[in-house]
Amino acid sequence: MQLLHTFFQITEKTSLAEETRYRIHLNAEHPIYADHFPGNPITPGVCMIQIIKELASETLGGNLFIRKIVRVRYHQVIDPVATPDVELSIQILPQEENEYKVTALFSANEQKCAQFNLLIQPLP
Amino acid sequence: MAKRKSLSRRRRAMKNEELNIDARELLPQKGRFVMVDRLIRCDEEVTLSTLSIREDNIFIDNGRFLEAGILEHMAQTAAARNGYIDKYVQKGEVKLGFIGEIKNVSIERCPAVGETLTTSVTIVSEIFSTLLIHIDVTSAGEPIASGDMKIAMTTIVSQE
Repeated sequence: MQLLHTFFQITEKTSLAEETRYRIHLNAEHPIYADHFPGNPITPGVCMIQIIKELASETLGGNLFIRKIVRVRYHQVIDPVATPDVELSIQILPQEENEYKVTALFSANEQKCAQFNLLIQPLP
Repeated sequence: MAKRKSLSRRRRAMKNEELNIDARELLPQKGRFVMVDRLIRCDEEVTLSTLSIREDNIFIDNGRFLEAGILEHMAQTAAARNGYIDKYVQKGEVKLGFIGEIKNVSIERCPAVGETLTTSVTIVSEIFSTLLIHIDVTSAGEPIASGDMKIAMTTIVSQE
């Protein structure tokens, strides 16, 4: 599965030292939304994790494996019809050997939607 | 008092017995987003589910079931429990739930197409509409993932 270009698109991208800020557009017509949930499209929380992984993989230039979900908190749901455009900031910090700490924040209308703290490893 | 009465009735109704229910009738998620095959046990403490990793699963990448799929399968095992209680114990309709928090989930590896996951959800606490659970996912007895989640249960009725 790849969500980039089908489930979401990057409409803006700003790269800072260790952080990349994105504005992304969610495609409310994607088949995932017909099943999650019928008549009530909500962005699945796990798809946000997949989006973060795909974008981190683009930054680091290779496939990644999420070894640990240290903590993820969902504050409010994202309805792709009402709020198709969301902000996402991803910070990638190298840890001890072969591991990165990835922290990310999804927000919409300047309100926090979800916060992520993951440990990822590059795949050989 | 009414709440306590209904909880004790629920305990009596949820006996420790083997089930074999198609998860599609218990989950608010539909179609290709269903990440549980069968509910095989559901009592007050423990819920058990299975999922065969098939080629056409939407969370497959290069023959492997992605971390996002594993996490969704973990959350949906709890959703199947809630759906079982909604439908078979309370004799009502299946309702929507959301992941509120994921904490300390370790993933050993992404399982391959052809493997079958067996997953147990242990209820740590249930306070009002928040379920705190511990989940263990295995394949052929070997660990795949384990950790904790908070599930927020709503009163929104699932639509077909």
